[in-house]
Amino acid sequence: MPDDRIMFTTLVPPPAGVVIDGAVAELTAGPGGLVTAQIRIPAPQPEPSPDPLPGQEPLWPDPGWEDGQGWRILGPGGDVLDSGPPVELEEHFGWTDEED
Amino acid sequence: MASGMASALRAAVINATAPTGATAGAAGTQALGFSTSAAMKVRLNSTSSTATAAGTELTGTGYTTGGQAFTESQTAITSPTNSITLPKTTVLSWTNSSGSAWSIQSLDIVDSTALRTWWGDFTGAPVSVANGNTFQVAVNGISITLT
Repeated sequence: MPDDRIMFTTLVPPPAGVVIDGAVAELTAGPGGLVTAQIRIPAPQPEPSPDPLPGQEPLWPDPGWEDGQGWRILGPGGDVLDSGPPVELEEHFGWTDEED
Repeated sequence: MASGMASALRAAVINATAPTGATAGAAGTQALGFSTSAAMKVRLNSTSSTATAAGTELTGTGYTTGGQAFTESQTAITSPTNSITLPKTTVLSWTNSSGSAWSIQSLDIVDSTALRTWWGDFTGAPVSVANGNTFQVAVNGISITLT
């Protein structure tokens, strides 16, 4: 008996301003020749984080870290036990913007 | 928290920008004397570093003597008023399997030959990492600034 479920990849005309890539149409053959079509659109994937400029916070937070965390301690199960702010290594020459 | 440039780095900056070069009267162009052929590292210490000496380095399983290497380079700054933040995209991570707790006080940034450049205490130090736990430094968890 042939499989009554047919899956194939198709190009779906996207709405204006929306790009749909990898959409999958699923057709199900029912009684009386009725065919039900379902279009599955994959969940959008996050864009790679652009590199922050030096001195700037990353534009896309690192997963699992909270804002302002510079270090943390994880237990064997991965739970955060302690954390602290970033480490600031500074040398003061007394420069001003006018002297740059 | 105390931090700053290692004394050797201060001297290297002056030498590289004054007539101390191999050619008579020329600037010292020895690239500040630090290795550029291999990754720099983060060294963890149980005591505070100073401008003239590194703190006492951690020991035990889970920590490699000499420190953990950066896996990528950060974008160079174009103004001295900017900061460089490290690591760029890869979290630094150490899992303590030494059998006893680590007490982490400070870090040093060193070149591949262990020459020190920057040093400083962790904010909140000492940081106690029990055996079996993992200590991590976030992306951009270290900032370097000249002011």
